[in-house]
This record gives sequence, structure tokens and C-alpha cells, in this order.
Amino acid sequence: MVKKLVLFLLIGLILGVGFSKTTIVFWHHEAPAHRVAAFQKVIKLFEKENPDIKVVQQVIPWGDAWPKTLAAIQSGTTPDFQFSLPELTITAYQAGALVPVDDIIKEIDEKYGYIKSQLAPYKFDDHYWGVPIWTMPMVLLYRPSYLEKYLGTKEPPKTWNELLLAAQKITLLSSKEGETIYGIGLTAGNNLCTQEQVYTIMSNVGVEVFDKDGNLTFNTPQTLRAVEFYKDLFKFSPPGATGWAWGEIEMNFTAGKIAMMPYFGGLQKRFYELKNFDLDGVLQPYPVDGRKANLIYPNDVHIYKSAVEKGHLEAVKKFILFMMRPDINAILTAEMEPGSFVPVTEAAQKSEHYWNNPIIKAFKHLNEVIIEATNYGTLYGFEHGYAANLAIGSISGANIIAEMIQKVVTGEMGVKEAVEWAEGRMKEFLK
Amino acid sequence: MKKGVWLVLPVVILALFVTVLPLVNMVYRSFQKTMFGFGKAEFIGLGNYLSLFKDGTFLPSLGRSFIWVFENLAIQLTVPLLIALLLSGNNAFYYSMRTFILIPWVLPMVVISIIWRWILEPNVGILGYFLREYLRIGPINFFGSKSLAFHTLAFINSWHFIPFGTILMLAALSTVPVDLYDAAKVDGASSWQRFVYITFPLIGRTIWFVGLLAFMWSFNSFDLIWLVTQGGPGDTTLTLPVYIYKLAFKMYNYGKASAASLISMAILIGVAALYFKIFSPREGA
Repeated sequence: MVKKLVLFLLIGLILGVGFSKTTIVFWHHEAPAHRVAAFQKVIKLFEKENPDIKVVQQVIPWGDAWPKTLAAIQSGTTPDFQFSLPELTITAYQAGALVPVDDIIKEIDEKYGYIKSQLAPYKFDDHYWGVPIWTMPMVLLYRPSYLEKYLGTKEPPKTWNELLLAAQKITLLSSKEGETIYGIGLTAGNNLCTQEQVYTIMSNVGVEVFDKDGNLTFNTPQTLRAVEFYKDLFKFSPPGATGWAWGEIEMNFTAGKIAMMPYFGGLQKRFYELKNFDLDGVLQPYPVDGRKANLIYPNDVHIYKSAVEKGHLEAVKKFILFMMRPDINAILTAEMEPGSFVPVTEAAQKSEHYWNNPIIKAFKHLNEVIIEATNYGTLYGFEHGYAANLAIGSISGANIIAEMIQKVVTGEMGVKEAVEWAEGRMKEFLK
Repeated sequence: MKKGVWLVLPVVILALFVTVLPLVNMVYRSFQKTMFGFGKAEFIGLGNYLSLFKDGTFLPSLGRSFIWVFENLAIQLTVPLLIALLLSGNNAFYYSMRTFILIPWVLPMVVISIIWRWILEPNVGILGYFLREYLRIGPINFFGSKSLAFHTLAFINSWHFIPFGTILMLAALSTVPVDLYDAAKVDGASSWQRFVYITFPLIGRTIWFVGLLAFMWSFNSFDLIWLVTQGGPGDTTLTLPVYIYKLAFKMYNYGKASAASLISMAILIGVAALYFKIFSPREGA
């Protein structure tokens, strides 16, 4: 009888402990298996330190992110928190589904020191609505061997003129030798890849989609200049680039068809696997009267109101703070996508956990350039350090800038006409 | 009430819930200015409908959808019949070929999109390699060229559908009595005459049915176009379903997207009704 009672109490205790665990669920959109594995590694480490919290990851491919997020908000089935981008966080905010995260930002900033520019895309209406977890700066990737062979130097171009001349020379000289190597890799597909490449060029001449008060200021001499330069440079990009997205440009660069391209540094992983170390990077070249700048895309986590309603907020905060610890953040950056996912805090950027990653080490100079680029990064619509106009979420989602470039490089419209067209389309979102 | 009615009632209610309710919601939203289809919304009457006809994109995308359908139909009605005629033999070779040709049909559209993007990539794709090396042609920009992208996608879409059409045609061909052909041969009819006067009339109903399915599926085609070109380059592959998706999920104009969807539905119902009236096989055919 006593034995039965003890057994009964023991079972009750175990079940009680099990039921007293808080389970938090998050969505992310990084579907490749190695990224899912990296998230799971972080989850396991967190659960070890926090046995009373269970964390569940659910993967939604990027293509489904917006429809599924909106459907979840409408039906009240949102996860506790979600990995996101500025446009998606703005969308979720506009749908009234998020809680502000000022306290979390403050705590992370005090502990680890945020790179301040990375907070800009998530500040609107005087609060922060997303916690930047990692960021993605664009730099000019290049193949040193191609520069040496066709330009007689390993030194990459530093200005727009040098970039254009280098692209032209490499394309023409390689063609004379019977090779098909193109000086520059630029896309003109109707997609985010194009939009980001265009904007990294636009940032060098100070293009602003909105002014400080949220008025549309896209159709400016700076924009015309940037689009004109993109059009000129695009002539030395491989055929087919008018239909390219991420996969095609990466494949062509890795296959040796392209000498240089403004891109994220994550290609170093593929080069490392192929034991090809002919890869380096430099800050985005800019005109002599322009400025050092590049596109940067901080990725964040936003928290749903449902987390508060379910009493999960403290557990979610704990997990977010855990992810920002430099040793853990290195798993989400250096281990998950070395060179593409880059730390957003000074502590994580300097951490030995980041720099001791074998791929980061193998391409040390490239990664130093990538880290430096985080200081000059900017993003369309957030040039003033905050979201000047929330319509940027829709404008970006509609790929208007990419569509504009496509019209220019396919000859459908001239530069002036295309920029006017783009501004007209943007105005529709302001109504 | 008869027992049978009670038995089917739960399914009928479920079917109404997943078809009629979204339709009613769509009609309701089509008269509103709303970003996401929930939350803030403003009644604007026919504003969305008028905006569609004025926006300079809706009507061209509708026209493009019809051109898309006719181009696909031209391939999807003829090629399956040809292949079915070729594979209508009765031995192990024909049986195994009938299995292999199903491969395009069973592949998911995501896989098809990726495969063809790689095959047709001008610089590193395998087709580009053969064209350059052996025919000295190219590089050809299949998906980035305004003159080629549309037709390339129509080809791929038809490539996906052809196995299904072929199987239906093969099934129809197997129902044609063999002695009719024997009698016709005895009377001196040529292959072409046997096809025109025996085969074609007797499988007419199947051709009609394949045509109806090809029309509906082609008109509503979204995934292939979105995965490969997103409606580009420019607007050259922007058909109506792609435009509706962009309106709803990229431009967050749910009201306008609802209006466009309803117009699309009305067109499809109208065309289907005409198709039934004009092209329905006559009794005894």
C-alpha cells in the first residue's frame, strides 16, 4: 500500500513537472536543413540551462511567410514570436498583432552594445517592434585571380568609374581569349535580390525613399544617377540576368562566370566546401562625390500579443536574450550562414566564438570587410534611423524598385520614365 | 426527411463552409478598401471595380491570360492525342512507355520550376551548353527575354499537363471497337481517313473533357509563373492569377484583389457555359 502510494506520488510529481513546463513556439523562414539544425542546437542549449521552458521551432518557407502570417493573425493562431524582416514586422505591426520590445532592446544594448544603425528599421511610432538578431550587409565580392589576370592587379575597384572600367575590361579581354567571364554580376529579375543590389548602388549617392517627415522623395537626381549607373554596369553582366534570382547569380559566380558582384558574403561557405579560396571582398565602391554606404538587412524577432495572453512573455524574453549571448549568437551567424548572417552587437562581432569558426577564419579578410560594412549599412525607407513611412513595407514587398530596373535594362522604358513610373507606383501605396 | 439526406448533410455543410463562406467574404471585401481583409476597412462601393478597369494592369493581364490559355490549349489538345496514338500498341514496350511519360505529371510544380530554371539558364544550364557547343547558338535568355519568357513558360506548363491528357486519350482510344478499323481497312480507308471518320468522332467526348480541364487549369495557372518569373520580365508573363496574388499579398490591397477574383470567376463561369453550349459532343457522338 505504501509502495503504491509512493509510486503514485512519484508519477504525479513527474507529470506535474512536465505540465509546469512552459512551451513557447516560434516561426522562422530559414528552410535549409543546416539552418534548421542550427536553430535546434540553440534550442537544446537553451533548454539545458532552462529546464522549465520548452522551445519549439516551426519552419515556414519565405514564399509562404506573408500569407501564413496574415492568416495566423486573422485566425488568432500566431506563434509566440517570429523571426522576421523589416517589411514583415511592419506588416504584422499594421495588423495590430505585436507588442513593443523597448525593454529587451535596452537590455541587449547595455549588455552587448547594438550597432545603432541596425535598430532603425524596427523603430516606428516611438517604440521598437522587432529585436535585431543578426544582419546581412552587402559588399563587393570578387575573384582576386580574375582581377590579377585581366587587370594586372589584385586590388579591387574603389570608385564607380573604376568599377565600370574593371567590369568592361574583364568582359572584353576574357571574350578575346575565348572565355565567357563577365566583369560584374547584377540581376534584373522582378525580386528582392535585384532590389537589394540596386539599393546598395543607390546608397552610395544618398538616395532616400522618404524624407524625415515620411514624404516620398524617390524621383530625385540621385536616383536617376544611380539607375543610370546600374544600367551602364548591367551591360557587363551575363545574359539571362534579366530573369535571375538568388540561385542563378550564386551558381554563375561559383561557376567562375562572374568576376565581381555586390552580394552577401555567404558564398564563402560554398567556396570553402569546394576548397576554392579565390574569393575576397571590399566595401561597395562609390563615386568620388558620393559616400561609403551599402545595403544592410537586419533580421529580427518580433513578439505577438498572443505570447502575452498565454503568459509566455518572460520565457520568450529569456530565449531572445539567450540568443544574443555572443557564444550563442555565433551559432546563428558564423555556424548557420558564415558571411551572410553577421552579428548586430559589438560584443558578438568581436567574440572569439565568431572568429574561430573555420570558414570565417579561412576568409578572414573578407569577413573583416563584412563586419566593417555593418557600420555603413542602410536600408530603403529607413535612411533617417527610423521608419519614416510605414508604406515602405508594402513598397518593398511589391518589388517596385526591381521592376523599375527591369524596365530599364530590357529597354521598355528610359531611366527618367522608369523612375517616374516607380514613384507613381509608390504613391499608390501612400493612398 | 429521408435518411440519406441526413447522412450527406455534414459533408454538404462542410463543403458550403469551405466554398460558399469564403466566396461571400470575398464579395463583401470587394466593396471595401482594406489592406489585409481584416481589421480596418472602409466601404467604397464599386470603387475597387472601377479602379481595376482604370489601373492599366488588370485588362492587359486578363488579355494575357486568354492568350496563355489558347497557347496552352493548342499544345495540350494536340500533343496528348499524338502521343496516345503512338503509344496505343499492345506490348511490353508500349506499356512501359506509358509509365515513363507520367513523370512530368507527378512532379510537384516547385520541382518542375527549379529543374527548368537550371536547364534553361543561359550560361551554366545544360541546354545552353548543347546549343553553344554543338549548334553555335546562344546564349539564349529564355526567362529574361520579353519575347521568349511567355512561350517558354507555356511550353513547360504544357509539358507538365501532357501526360495527364495522354492517359485520358489512351483510355478513350481503348474503347474504340477494333472491328470498326478492320471494316474500314477492308473498305480501303487510309490511316488518315480511319482517324477522321472513326477515331476522332468516337473519342470526341474525351477531347472535349481534356479541353475543358486544360482551359480551367491553364487559366488558373499561378505557381509556375510565380516561381519562375513573378510575372516578369516587365509584365510579359503577368497573367490574371499572378496579378491577383500580387494585389493581395504584395501590395496589400485585399479589396481590389477580391474584386479582381470575382471578375475572374465570372469570366470563367461564362466561358465554361459557352464551352458547354458550343462544344458539347452531340448525343450519339
